Amino acid sequence: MLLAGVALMTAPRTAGAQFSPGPLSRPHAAIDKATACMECHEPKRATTALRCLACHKELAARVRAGRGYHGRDKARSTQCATCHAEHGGRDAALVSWPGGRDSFDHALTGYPLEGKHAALGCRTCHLPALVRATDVRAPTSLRLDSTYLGLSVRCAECHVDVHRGQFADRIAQADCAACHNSLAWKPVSVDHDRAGFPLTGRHAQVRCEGCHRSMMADGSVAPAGTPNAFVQYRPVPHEACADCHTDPHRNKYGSDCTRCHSTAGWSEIATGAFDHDRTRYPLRGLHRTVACAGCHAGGAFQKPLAFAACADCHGDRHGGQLAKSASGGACEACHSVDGFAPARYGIEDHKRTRFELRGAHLAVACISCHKPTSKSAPRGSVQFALKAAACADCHADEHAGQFTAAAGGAACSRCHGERAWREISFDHRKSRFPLDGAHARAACKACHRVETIGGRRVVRYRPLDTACRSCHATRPAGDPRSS
Amino acid sequence: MSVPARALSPTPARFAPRSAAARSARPRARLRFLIYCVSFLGWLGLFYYGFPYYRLGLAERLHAPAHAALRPSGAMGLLYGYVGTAFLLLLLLYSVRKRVPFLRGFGSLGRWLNAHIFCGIAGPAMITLHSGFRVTGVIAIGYWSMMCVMASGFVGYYLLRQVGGALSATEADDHALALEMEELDRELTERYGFQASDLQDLRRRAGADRAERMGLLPSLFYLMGQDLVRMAEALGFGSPSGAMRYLGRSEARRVRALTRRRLLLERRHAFLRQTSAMFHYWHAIHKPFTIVLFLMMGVHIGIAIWLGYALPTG
Repeated sequence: MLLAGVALMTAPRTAGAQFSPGPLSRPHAAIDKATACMECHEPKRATTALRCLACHKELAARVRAGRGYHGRDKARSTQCATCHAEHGGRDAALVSWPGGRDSFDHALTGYPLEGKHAALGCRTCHLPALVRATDVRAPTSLRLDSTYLGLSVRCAECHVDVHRGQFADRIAQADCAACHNSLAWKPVSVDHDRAGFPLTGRHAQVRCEGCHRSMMADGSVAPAGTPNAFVQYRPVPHEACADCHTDPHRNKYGSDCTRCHSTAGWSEIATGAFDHDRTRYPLRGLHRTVACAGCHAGGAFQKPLAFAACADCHGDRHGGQLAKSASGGACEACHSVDGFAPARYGIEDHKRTRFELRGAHLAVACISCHKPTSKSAPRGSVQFALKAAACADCHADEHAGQFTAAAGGAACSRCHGERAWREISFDHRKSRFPLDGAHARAACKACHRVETIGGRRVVRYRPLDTACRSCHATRPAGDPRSS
Repeated sequence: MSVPARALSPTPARFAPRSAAARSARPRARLRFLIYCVSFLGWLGLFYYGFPYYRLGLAERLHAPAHAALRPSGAMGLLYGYVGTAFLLLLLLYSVRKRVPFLRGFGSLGRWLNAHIFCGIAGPAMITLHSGFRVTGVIAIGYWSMMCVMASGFVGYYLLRQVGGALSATEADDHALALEMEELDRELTERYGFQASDLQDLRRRAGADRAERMGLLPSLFYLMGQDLVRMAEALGFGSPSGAMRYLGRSEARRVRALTRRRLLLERRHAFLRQTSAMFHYWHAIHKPFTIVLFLMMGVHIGIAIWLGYALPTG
């Protein structure tokens, strides 16, 4: 019984190939003959990769180049029979997959399957139509329906170009990954800078469809989702803003919108960018530095603005003090667009007032006389109209009222001039005590001494006693000068 | 086996003592049986281990995980081959022993024959594992020659048993047969009350009356058929005599042994001409197959070594 069983199990299946352990697979059928053993076998070395690669030139090239699954591992490139066992009959599969084909680690080929690729079956990609390598496609080479060689790692070799050639240059560089990844077709991660049109400001918030419209092959615009429609990414006219935006100025300011506008927003006009000379009110002086919104409140540039008088925009810091002046209070009489200060009002202008500036008054700063109307008053809010009838209206009485009784109240000018305080023009001869003799040589302070008058230490000028004894004391007995 | 009713007579027993050779042969037979059992179980274990692989078709085997080890050029496959080859080469020593007088001092020929038979069974068994139960091509000639050698070995051993263990039928053998039969007849007659008619019945059952007319092959089949019936009876499939129930267990066993032995001797004596002739012709079958076997084995091993498959390949 044992013998019968053994005989049944071991019955010879073929009469041919007497020295072969079994028929070769169909791809090798041409060399399945007793005289062709050495096509694959090598004396004393069993089967060698050398023999295999002698025929499988497309594989030999990849092994030499260190490419692909076979080229990346020496063991795989030298021990063919480990995975490609033969003599299993015509219908035997020539590839043994360690652990099964579905668990094959595709990273070993140098092309890891990630994202959606990882879920695909082998023959989803390894199709005859997708074999691109010319050496694999050669008629004498492998069977395209069973080989795993010859595919390209370029996306477009497997995927349909839904962009209809718009990115032919990128595709030629296998640069699909610049926007897409293997996880999903969308969303994309576009580096719009590479498109020559960096998305800045508000442009970055615009959805792709806002600029890239859905088109039909004939160039007509189609609603999104229309069958056979495709999104036009290139070329999209973008040289001028008007390629996408309508011109609310009706070309009034030319086609270069960027002179005024930026992608930060329609109302965000760059300071100084707009050529205000094109308007009826060219900006001069400090007006150039004023932000647009300083005049055009809320960015309402189309809203008419009054600009005939300064007061249309500026307030009157002088509080109407100059309304009755010769200029009628016109700002430009004293001020210019170069700044509120300094004012152009000068000495000559002051001559036309009731108080011509002379002498030391010429050197006095305006503010010394024209004081702010209040401590909190803004700059320029000064008191222009001054009384200025007498010196004492401005100057303090340094003599503590010794001369207030002078005729006409203009006692100051009897001694002082406008050139300097210390230029005294007093003539002692016209006084009650003309100076003669030794008195003429005496110093002023010998007679006019500092005293306290009204709580202040001032020089006593008047009244002074003119009697001798009031200055000269009686000489004591024995004084030689008294003899 | 039927027993005459007279065997139940309470005549005092006179047991024939067993020979010394018979007493020493029994432990050896047990040891041999044990070796065969262990070897068979071992082989069965290896077969069980490789069965998932052996049961696969040729194409499927290539991709089985065990292919690397169990294929003929695999690690285990080659080991089986080496062991099987060793057994096959060892069994040749029996022929050497027979032909070289110098070796006569190294054990009896019977022991050498036992070793020869063991190697002749174990070798093909291991070679079968080596082949993975699949042989094609020119090596199939060698393999089937080996199986023929083994099968013919069984037949040869059977014939050898029929001719009484001697390697040729001689007058001395014939005379020894007659003497032993007389002794058995005497014991059966005197001890168990067998009559002449009972002994005649034994001779008839042994086919002694028709042996003269039978050719070689019919004789062989007849003997084998008879042995099969005898084995069936021994296993309880026959219809033993009711009188045996009245014997003690040891006596019944003794009567069976005596009658079986008597029957075998009668049969051996009756068919001695045919079995001797067949044993002579058997060599003409056994040896050529052996030559073909070793020729093909040499070619196979030579090609394997030349191609680099003497050691396990990746």
